[in-house]
Amino acid sequence: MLARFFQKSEDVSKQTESKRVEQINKKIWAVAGGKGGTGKSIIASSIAVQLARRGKKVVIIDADLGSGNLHTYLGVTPSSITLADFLRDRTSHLSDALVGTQYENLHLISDANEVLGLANISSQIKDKLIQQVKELDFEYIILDVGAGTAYNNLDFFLISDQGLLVAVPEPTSIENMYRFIRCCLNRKLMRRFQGSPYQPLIEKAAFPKEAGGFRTIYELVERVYQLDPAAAEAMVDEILKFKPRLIMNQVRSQTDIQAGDSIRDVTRKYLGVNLSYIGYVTYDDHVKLSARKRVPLFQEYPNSGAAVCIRNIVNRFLG
Amino acid sequence: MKRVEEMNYYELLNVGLTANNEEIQKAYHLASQTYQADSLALYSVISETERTQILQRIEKAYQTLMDEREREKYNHQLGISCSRKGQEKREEHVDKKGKKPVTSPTTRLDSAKGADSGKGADSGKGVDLGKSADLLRDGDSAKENQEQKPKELPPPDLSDPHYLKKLRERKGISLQEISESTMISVHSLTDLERGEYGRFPGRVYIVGFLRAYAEYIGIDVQQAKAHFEIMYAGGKSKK
Repeated sequence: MLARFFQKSEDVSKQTESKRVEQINKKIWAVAGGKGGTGKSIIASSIAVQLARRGKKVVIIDADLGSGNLHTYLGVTPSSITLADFLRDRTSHLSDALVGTQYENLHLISDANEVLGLANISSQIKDKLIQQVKELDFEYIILDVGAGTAYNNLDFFLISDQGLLVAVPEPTSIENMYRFIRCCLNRKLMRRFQGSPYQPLIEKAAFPKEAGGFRTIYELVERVYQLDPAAAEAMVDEILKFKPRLIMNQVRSQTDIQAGDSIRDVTRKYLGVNLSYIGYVTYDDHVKLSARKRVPLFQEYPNSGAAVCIRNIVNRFLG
Repeated sequence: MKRVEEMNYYELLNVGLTANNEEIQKAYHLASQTYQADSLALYSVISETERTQILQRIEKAYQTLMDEREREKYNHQLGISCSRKGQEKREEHVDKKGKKPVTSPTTRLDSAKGADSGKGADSGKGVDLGKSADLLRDGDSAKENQEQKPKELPPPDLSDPHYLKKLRERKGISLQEISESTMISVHSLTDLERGEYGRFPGRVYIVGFLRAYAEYIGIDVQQAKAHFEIMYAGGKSKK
């Protein structure tokens, strides 16, 4: 039995190793937040520009299906082929939707469209999209994920190597961010334990207020442990692997900055999720001005407070 | 992963076992702000009863850890045998060896407020505009530690009760550092290293923690598990 246990661990180790090798060459960063209007797109596009300026080969994808406007932040006219064409099977290659930007190293896959129902893609199309996203030949793939907890958004976030959550210091934003974290964790566990006897328990965890539901992730793990310690062990592994990172946007005071520390503490203590606080971006009118001009923030106002904050965050990542 | 109700005072305040009064003071300030009734961070997560309870525990934790005698008594209750001085010395030693000094959890708590000012981040007034937090240590420091692996030393025997501790110390990694990244308390990590498995609620926790520990310090997870199985079996047979 012990041998089987270690064999299993070895397989996992090999998978981890091959994933690690893959990550050296390609990194997927997803920017999400659960709520609209928190500045996800401006931060995602600014991160992409900053990476490209550092000489990295970058593509940014408007994964805010049906509501994309990254092209506006980047000052790019959408090409005749967009993500919508790929999703509607009008082109079989996602790379056909690539369009250049004013930065040599930065490409965009735009979602500029007015197609009814595009936000509601089937799981087969989503899987195909995710597969082709992973195959894109870029060092960095930035996903600008839409608001809300639709499966599409959760899945785009969960395929990333770095999941960045953008929140603003307002109750609605923070409430939705917690919701997004909980849903991501549930989704992650559901996928991992799909078809297992524990799937119904995980589903119960997704509805904490219903009879027999689990209020916290700890209760779920303990219940599974009573039934199958090995499954509970695997569950703890999955939970510990989920490490989203928080960016507080539009901060105006020391209290707003400190809210990020508090959110991290509450997330760790009460949601059981290892959230890191990687930085903040100050409230800055230059963001709005650059969007109005349809020019990237870094081009028009490279030394504005918001640009400096984003540059610092990227620098921290790249070292 | 640990329920709030099971956290000790150090974990509640997010400070290391060797935290000094200034660090405890800062951590207490942040914790009490976090759990105030009007705190943004609590919205939709905990009930009013839970909030009151944790705030009371934070208050008690602060009073205990700030009082030298009370703290000693409390440490004794927790079974923390290493003296604060001893631990500080070890960290100093690590620093002299050229590795970056161990960041205390309080530094983590402060970093988003500009605690990284010593690292050449942009300076500013008031709100410290332009600075960003230095909280990317989870993955990055593990990489750094791997780069600094000792080259030729043979690994300790798997049946060595100090197997984990020896490997960790060779890499110059402190328990606090692991705790910060893995979210596992220093106390639990100490128990893990000492083979005090009876203190964990179940085997699942031990194995999960062990994996996180091994991955962080960059040692073979299977070997660490093999060590655990030996120690675990030994512990059972003793009984």
